[in-house]
Amino acid sequence: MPPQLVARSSDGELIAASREQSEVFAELFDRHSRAVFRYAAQRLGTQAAEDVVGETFLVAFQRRDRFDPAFGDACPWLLGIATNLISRRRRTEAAHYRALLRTPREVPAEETAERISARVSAAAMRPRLAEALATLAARDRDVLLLIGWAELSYEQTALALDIPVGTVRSRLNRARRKVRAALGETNPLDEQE
Amino acid sequence: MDDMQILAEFGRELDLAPPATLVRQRNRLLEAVDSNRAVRRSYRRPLFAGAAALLSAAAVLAVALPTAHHGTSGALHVATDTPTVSVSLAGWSVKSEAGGSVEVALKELTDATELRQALAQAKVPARVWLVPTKVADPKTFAALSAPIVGCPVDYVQMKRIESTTGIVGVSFARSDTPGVLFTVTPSKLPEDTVVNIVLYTLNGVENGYYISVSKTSDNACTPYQN
Repeated sequence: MPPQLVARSSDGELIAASREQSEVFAELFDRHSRAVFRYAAQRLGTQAAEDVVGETFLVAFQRRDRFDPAFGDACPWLLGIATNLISRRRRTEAAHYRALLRTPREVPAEETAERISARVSAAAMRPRLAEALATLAARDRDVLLLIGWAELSYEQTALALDIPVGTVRSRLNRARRKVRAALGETNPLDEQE
Repeated sequence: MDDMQILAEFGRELDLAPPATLVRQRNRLLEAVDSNRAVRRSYRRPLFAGAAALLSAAAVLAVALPTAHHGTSGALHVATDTPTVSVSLAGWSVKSEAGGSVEVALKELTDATELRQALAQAKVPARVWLVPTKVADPKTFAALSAPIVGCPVDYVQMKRIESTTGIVGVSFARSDTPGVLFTVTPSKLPEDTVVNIVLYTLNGVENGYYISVSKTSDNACTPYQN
């Protein structure tokens, strides 16, 4: 496949082509490694995230015959693989969240009033949220964070985790109930208003 | 601000740009790819060699494919009662297999018309295009190929029909240069579809190919006649 075709091909076409021209698979890394890294870094921190990115693409390459081109975007599939790899590092993940409780956050130089409000609200909740994430059941946390952080849709999350959409909804509801309970069902800023 | 907004905000706090060292993971992937390719090459070479030997040794009733232009070294060998077809030229070969599949080996850019006819005899609906111009820059490939083959639209814009295992009705046995070996199973091709085969030369050195299955009505241009 010539470089121009590689650049213009869909993820499904790339993966199909990689069965014959395996080097084409590197294009998939270039397209999605940043998204996989960001998601993994949010859950594990940067050092472990790099390893997860590498392992994710190795697993994806080995399992590329299982990817259905009908899904189009391969990112949810890759995030699903990353999620499985992250689940093997539960202790690292829990330690990461708890470490955040002790880590001061850098404040961006420029923010809008709305962003500052949101940030302050989230900052106030941060300790309880981090603790809640650390104690959620892994499968509920996976769904919550694929939707809340990786911004996947319910359908994409179902694809990523290979579970029905109904299961995504029920796990999300359960996770949100626990998070809300941990947050005290209230928002400090709302209380001030 | 609900719990999901708080969660998203928390996620943004943790969002970090990928470090430059991520390139190490890309290299790790490339090493695995190279290793995989090496394994496939060593595994498949005997298969291809065997197939080639079989084809060249295949005996042969001369059946008239319409043109007599066979390139420099190609001998036209065709055996058979249709749809059993065995054709071996210098640039390519087509061979019927048990079960109705058809094995196609492409090596050089020659005899597109005969290739299409041999595939038709083997009950494989196909369009074959050669891009004889030696493309110096891959970026010019599409621009060059469209007018050459008489297609009104860029070839790569055709909607390809694929499944989880690749191109529907087509399976590849080898992709190492030179050439490609693949099998078409006509009975697996969806209705009203055609196998598209584009052969081109990149940088005047490397023979490339592009194979797809598309609706017959897709990009219904006149195949290039060499």
